[in-house]
Amino acid sequence: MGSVISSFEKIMMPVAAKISSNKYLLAMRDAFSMLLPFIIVGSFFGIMEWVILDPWGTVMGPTGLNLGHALSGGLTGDSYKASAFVTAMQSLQGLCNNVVTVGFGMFSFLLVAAFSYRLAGIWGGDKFSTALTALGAFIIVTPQQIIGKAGDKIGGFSLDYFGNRAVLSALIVATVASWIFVKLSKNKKMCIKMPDTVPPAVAKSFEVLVPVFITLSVFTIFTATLTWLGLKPLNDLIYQIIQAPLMGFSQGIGFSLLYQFVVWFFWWFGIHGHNVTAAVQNMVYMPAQLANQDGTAAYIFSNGFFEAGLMHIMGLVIAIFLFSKKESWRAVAKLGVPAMLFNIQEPLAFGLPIVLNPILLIPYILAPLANTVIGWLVISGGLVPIFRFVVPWTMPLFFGGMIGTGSLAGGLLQIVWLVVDVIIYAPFVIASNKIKDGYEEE
Amino acid sequence: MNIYLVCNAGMSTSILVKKMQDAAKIQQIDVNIEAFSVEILDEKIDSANVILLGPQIRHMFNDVKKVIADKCPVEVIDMRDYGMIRGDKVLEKALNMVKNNKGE
Repeated sequence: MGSVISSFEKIMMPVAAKISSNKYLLAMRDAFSMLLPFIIVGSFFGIMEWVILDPWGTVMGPTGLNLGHALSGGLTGDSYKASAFVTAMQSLQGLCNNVVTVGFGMFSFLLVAAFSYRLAGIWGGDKFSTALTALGAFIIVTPQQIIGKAGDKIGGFSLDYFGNRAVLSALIVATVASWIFVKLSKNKKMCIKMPDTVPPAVAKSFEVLVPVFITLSVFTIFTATLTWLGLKPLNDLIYQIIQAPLMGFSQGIGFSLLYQFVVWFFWWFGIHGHNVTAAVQNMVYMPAQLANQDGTAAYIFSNGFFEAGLMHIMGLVIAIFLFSKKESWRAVAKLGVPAMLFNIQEPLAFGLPIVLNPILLIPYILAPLANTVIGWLVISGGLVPIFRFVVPWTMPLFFGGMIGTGSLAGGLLQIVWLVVDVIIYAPFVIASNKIKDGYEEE
Repeated sequence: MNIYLVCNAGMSTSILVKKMQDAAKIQQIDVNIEAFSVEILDEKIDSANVILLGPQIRHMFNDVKKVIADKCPVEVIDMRDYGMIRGDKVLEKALNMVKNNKGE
């Protein structure tokens, strides 16, 4: 067994190293993490808007806590609908929605800026002007007219082109625009040199004039070509040809199980599985999360779904407290509980260790897979709502699921998961009582 | 002296940092110990005396080494010490690394 593991490790370490040291993927991951605060703040206001302030929602509505009934002075039905209370709540909802738009409706717009900023960093260009140029390119490929109700054309952008449907086109446009811009601006022939008497700030803006002109022109010609050929705008094309099929595929139970398997298999080798698979997560499960939050779609498998499942190692902790006769295991479990409450598994992973421990390989992978199947069944069966709101992944179990789904059922799902996980880990913990670990030196 | 611990998000290493600070206080050693994510390593590198990598990102060791470029010693934290949160042992290792580095 030992030699099988070490030869496996020899294969997996370079793979993991290749993936996570890939500069392009690293820049992408960094860009997504730059935007995380905006998503979490947006989600907070989203919860305010749809769960708390909604006159017919969980807190105010008659199907929920019915607080609105008391607050509006005992009104019901049509008189409730027409009351000043409902009007006030709705205008507050509108305000909250403005914040939601920053993190969700405009996500891809921000992504263009963040990603091209990071790309300029790895390709050696001026970060801020690259980000501005890429934003310019993104605006050029986006339709700048909206068709009104009467079929008239109004100047303006549709949020559809800046939200979750545009994640992939944002990544592509940012890549191409940054690449062209950085290449050109590093070329000395492209720089307009100003005499020394010109202030540096002015001279600097002239330096990038030609690269900006060429980059934006390339995108203009490209957009014009699409129009002449009678094709749809770039955003729609990319969504229909690549992103939509990708989303459909990744929502299959098969792909989701494969994803979970890869993540936890890497973790079993002590390699950060989520770090290695970040690209997959960002390309498919992040847009799914954004769409869920927007309410434009209902995807079962999203970032929130998988992050809620991080708690499965708590099942191991409980199984150890219940069944383990190993003093060393009980000691590590005690040590690891405070961190594990916040879904941080490293003390357990490296302390027990779970990592490279043959007896724990099966349950460590089986538990998240079982959770995925159970979650898929109950959500598609309508027993639990989808994971709609973004919660920091360190949110303790029960609360994470409850806030993420905006429903008590989500919290209960995590409790069910926990029970199943304890049952999955228990036989292996019991079996390990009879095995003496080679490293039990203390 | 600045001892920096690096991991994916800086979450789990921050637990270890706490224990290392406790150990340093007991031994009355004046050190600054911080944990952060690997993404901001390049901003922090110039003030570092020693850098330790969480074992879960040990596959990024060569990459981190390139970023550090001999500015200070770097090693991966022992898995068991990391898991058991042995702050004193990791602190001792870090101090030894600095000592050996100066000796060269």
